[in-house]
Order: sequence, then C-alpha cells, then structure tokens
Amino acid sequence: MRGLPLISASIWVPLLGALFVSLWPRRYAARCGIGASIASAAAALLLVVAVALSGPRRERLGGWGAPAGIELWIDGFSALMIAMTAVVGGVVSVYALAYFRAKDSSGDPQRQEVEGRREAYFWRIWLLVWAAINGVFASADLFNLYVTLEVVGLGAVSLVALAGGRALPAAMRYLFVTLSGSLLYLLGVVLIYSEVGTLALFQAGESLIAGTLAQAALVVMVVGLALKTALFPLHFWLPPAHADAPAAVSALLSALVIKVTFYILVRLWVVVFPASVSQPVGEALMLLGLIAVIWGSWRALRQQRLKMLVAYSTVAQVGYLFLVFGLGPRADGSAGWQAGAYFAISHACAKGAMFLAAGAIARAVGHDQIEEMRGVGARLALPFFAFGLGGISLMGLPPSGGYVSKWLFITSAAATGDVIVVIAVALGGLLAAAYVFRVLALAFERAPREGAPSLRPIPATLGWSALVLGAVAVALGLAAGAPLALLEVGLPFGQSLAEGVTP
Amino acid sequence: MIVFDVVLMVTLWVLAVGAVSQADLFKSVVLFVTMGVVVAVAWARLGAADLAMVEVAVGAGITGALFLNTLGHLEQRPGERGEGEDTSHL
Amino acid sequence: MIPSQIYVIAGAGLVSVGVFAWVVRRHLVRRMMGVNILSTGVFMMLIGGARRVEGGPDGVPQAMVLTGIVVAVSATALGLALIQRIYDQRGERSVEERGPM
Repeated sequence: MRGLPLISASIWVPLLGALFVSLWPRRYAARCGIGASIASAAAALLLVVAVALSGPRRERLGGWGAPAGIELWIDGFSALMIAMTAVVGGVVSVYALAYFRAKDSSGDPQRQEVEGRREAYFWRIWLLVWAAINGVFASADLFNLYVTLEVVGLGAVSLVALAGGRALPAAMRYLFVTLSGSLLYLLGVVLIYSEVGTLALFQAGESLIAGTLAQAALVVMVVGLALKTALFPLHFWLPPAHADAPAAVSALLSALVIKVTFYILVRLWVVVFPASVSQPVGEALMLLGLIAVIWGSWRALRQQRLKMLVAYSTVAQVGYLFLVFGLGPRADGSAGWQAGAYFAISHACAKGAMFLAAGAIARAVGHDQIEEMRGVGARLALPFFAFGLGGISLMGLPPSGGYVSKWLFITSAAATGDVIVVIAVALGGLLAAAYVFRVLALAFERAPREGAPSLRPIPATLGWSALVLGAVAVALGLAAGAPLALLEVGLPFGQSLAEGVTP
Repeated sequence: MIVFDVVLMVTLWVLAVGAVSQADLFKSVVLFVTMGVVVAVAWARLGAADLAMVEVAVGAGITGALFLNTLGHLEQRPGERGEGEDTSHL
Repeated sequence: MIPSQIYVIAGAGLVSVGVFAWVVRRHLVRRMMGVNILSTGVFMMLIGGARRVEGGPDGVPQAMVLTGIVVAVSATALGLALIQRIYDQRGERSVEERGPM
C-alpha cells in the first residue's frame, strides 16, 4: 500500500470523471456522473483507510521536489476531511441523480432541453469541485492551496448559478466575495514568501518569525478566509447563495465548501504562524464566532422560507467552527482543535441532511414557505424525519456527532475557565432546538380542514438519501472512537507535527 | 532610469482610476485594455519577458475581448435571446 | 538595478483602486473590472517584492503570477457570463445597481 499513488488518485479520479461526463453525449451525463462519483468516493475512502492503517503519506507529483514541483501530503486531519467529502459527496450524488432527473417527464421539449443542460453541467462542475476539494486537503504548499481554493470557489459559484432566476444575483455576489477572499489570501502568501522565501507549509512555519510582516500576512489571510467561510459580520452573501441554489448544491456548499477555508485557517494556525502572532487574532475570531452563534440562530428562527432557515443555521454553525481559534491554542493538548474538526464533520452530515430534506420537501410542496407547510408532515414523513435527525445533531442532543463535538468544546472551554463559551454553546443549542422544532411542530400539526396543500409525488430516493446523511450524523455520536483515532494520525495538532513527521 | 519606472507606474494608476470611474463603459474597457499593455511593459522591466507576453495575450487581449462581448450583449434588449425568468429549480 | 519598491507601491495603489471599485461602484461590469485591477495589483506586489533574491529574477513568483493570470481570466469569463444571464433573465436594472451589502 505504501507505494501506491493514492493521494493523487483521490484527485485524478473525480477530475477524469468530470472529463468523461463532458465528453460523453449529454443524455448519458447522469449515468456517467454517478459512476464517476462512486469511483471517486471509493478512491478517497481507500486513501483514508491507508492513512488510518499506515500513517501519514506524502507524494511528489512527477518526481519533482518541493520548491518547483507539487508536493501532496496527508495526515489524520486531512484524511478525515477527505472522508467527510467522500461520504457527503457520495450521498448527494445519489440524491442529485433523482433530483435533476425528475423534471424529464414534463413533456415540454424546450423545458427538457434546459433541464438536460442543467443536469449535465451539474455533474461536470461538481466532479471538478470534488477534485479541487481533495486537492486543498492534500496540498502541502501555500500557492497550491490558492489554486485549488480558487477552483473550488469558481465551481461553487457556477453551481449556484445553475438554479437560474433569483439565484443569479446571489451567485454574482458570491463570485465577488470568493474572488476577493482568495486574492486577500494570495496577498498573505506574497508577504510570507517575501519574508521566508518558500511556499511549503512546514518550511514556512519553521522560518517565519513573529513581526510586523507576519502580523500583516495573518490579518489579510484571516480576513480573506473568514469572508469565504462567512464568519459574522462577513456572512451577508451566504444565506441567499446557499438558499437559492438547487438543493443538492446547497447541501454541498454548506457541508463541504465552507469547510475548505476553515481547514486552511486551521493549518495556518497550527503550522505556519507563531503563537505570539496568532493568539490575539484567535481571541478576536472566537468572539466573532460567539456572536455568530447567537445572531445566526436568532435570524434562522425568524425566517419565512425553509431553505433560508437552514442557510442562517449555517451562519450560526460557522460560529462554532471559529471557537477553535481561541480554544485550540489554549486548551491542553489538542482537545480544542479536535472539537473543531469533529464539529466540522458532524455539521457536514447534519446540514447536508437538512438541505437535502428541505429540497425534497420544497419539491413536494411546490415552494418552501414554512407557514404553508402546516400539516404536510404526515405525508412527507421521510424527509421530515431526516430533517429532524440533522436537527438533533445541530442541537447537540446525544447521541449525535453534534453532541460529541459540543461536549469536547465545553470540556476544553471549562478547563480554561471560559464560562462565556460554555453559556454560548448551550444557548446556541437551545436556539437550534427552537428553530428545528418550529418547523417540525408546524409540519405535524393537524392539517387544516379545507385547503390542505396538495403534494406532488417525489422520488423516494430524495427522502432516503437525506435520511442516510442524517443517520450518519447521529452515528457519529455513537461511534466517535474511529474518527477521533484517525484525527490522531500524524499528530496534526501536536508538537511532533513540525518536528517528527516532516523531513 | 528611475524616472521611467515612476512615469510608467503613475500612468498605470491613472489608467486604472480612469477605467473604474469613466462614465462610458466602452471607454472604460479601452482604458482597461491599455492598462493591460502597460502592465506588460512593467513585467518586461522587471525581467519577466514570458509574463509580459502572457499579459498582452491574456490579460489585455482575451479579457478585453470578453468585456467587449459583454458590452455588446448589454446593448441588446433583455430577454431578446435569453430563456426569460426561470424559477423552476425547486 | 531597478528600484522594485516602486512596483510594490504601485501594486498597492492598484489594489486600492480595485477595492474602491468593488465597494463603491454599482455597475456589475465595472466591479468585475475592479476585481481584475485588484488581482493585477497583487501580482505586481508579488513580482516587485520578490526581486530581492540575488542572481536575476526569481522564477517561483513568476510561475505564481502566470497561474494567477489564468485564474483571473477564467474568473472574469465566468463573471461576465453570469452578468449576461442576469441581464437576460432579470433585466437592465439588476445589472446596474445593488451593492453586495
């Protein structure tokens, strides 16, 4: 297993898939796309298993070394992220198969043409984005991260635009945000390079000394990446972009795309910047994260549209992610960082399930106005159940991935005496319960005597795939051992990262 | 030759300001393309001849063509060749 | 020896023009132009700032800018295509106004 190019395979397989989907006639796009998705998920999981069994891996593309060539590098943290992408991506691909197909039967040839084109573009762009996401997680140098990040961003914008209509201005705004975010990141890379003369993550981390330049580089990179992760108050673009995209795309964006920039930030924190530089910025990020938790949950509670509610819930959950920049360096060992990583994967499954369920519900009801969903719950039990399963994880109820990560958050915050964090985490869970139950209570209310909304039939796959993701989110609370053990591989947050593992 | 560099950069800055503040979009694009050419000269001054060529071809050429194409599109009445409002993605 | 600081300062100037266009300008085409100017500014700071290395120009920043130019042109193509579709589907007004905030 040592010699196999598994890392590059996890990037090449989806990339080749995207190429195949583009080359084949459009009517085979879905079949080709789902095949490529299964192959990509398999390649990624093979890599994850190899990392779990035999430790961190590195590969040099084309036999070139670090300065000019591209070096790929995987430890437990990146392996966990790649596994998250494979699971969520695989399930969403199955969902998309039914989601985009369902329109074909309408009979109007012009309509079918539009839908066919939309489906074909979805598969091409999504597979490309998948390859780029894996590329980010496998990158070992700052510039490689920029390129792959930019591909993820441009692909995500195109996926949002697939919905047409009111999603187009949202996509345009998202494009400006993602471009300026990555340019700010690139500016930081420029500053680091001019200081240390290398782009490799670990070498840069070894020779970067605390000073004005490092401080400036950190600030521009943090602003750029926080903008792309939609940290309060830079979240203005996220709700329309995530809510108006096609449901399969919303799930991918909320579950995976925002985690990409989070991942880069964590790497910068742990590997590149000296603690004296990053400490004050981390405290500020934690504060913004706390505000985001409360503000996003409150806004979610007030939404009229189901997908908008789920999108604002993402704004709140992003806040939890940013708690780690205050807790991670402070807590003993790596408990704070582990909480963040575990939160990222459980949020990915939970939020994926909720967006997929919301898409299935909206497809059946014909709109996503919450008030008008009174009494539809009994007839749409499957998607609403999936929505509830995702909700359990968001609230942090046991047993669920959300429970495990919030428990990790609270223990590491309590160990350092951060009472405010403990209170905010608890309050955020309560607010999450409020907005999830608001939807469920309305849906399972007794239907009004007359004028009960008539439902369109939806493919069962939509509900089932949402349910699978929701079940994974809950299962992450039952079997937390394996993911947490994987997270220890190569000690991504330990001292030995910079010393032991890398040459 | 410092004077040349300074003049070059001032020209560049003036062109950039002009491109974003010009009221007429077509003139904006012309200024933008000119800016691309000046940037190419700057790359050449900095010893990056390959970058200079790419900048002229891609930065000024292709990007300029894309902008002009869009301006041409915006001249037509909306909906003339589009599919119209499309909200059926639910 | 060319004083490369001039180019770094000019790059910063371009960045500020780009940010200005992005924040203040309303027409989508002009904001797209602003993003392009912003990225040119970053590239110029990159090349200008990297020339401290002895023995001729440093190859790595040039390779970075080369990639960056390609990325910028793809982003521009995507953005302009989006602007055209917005214009087609939602009319003139939506292209000419409305900020990001």
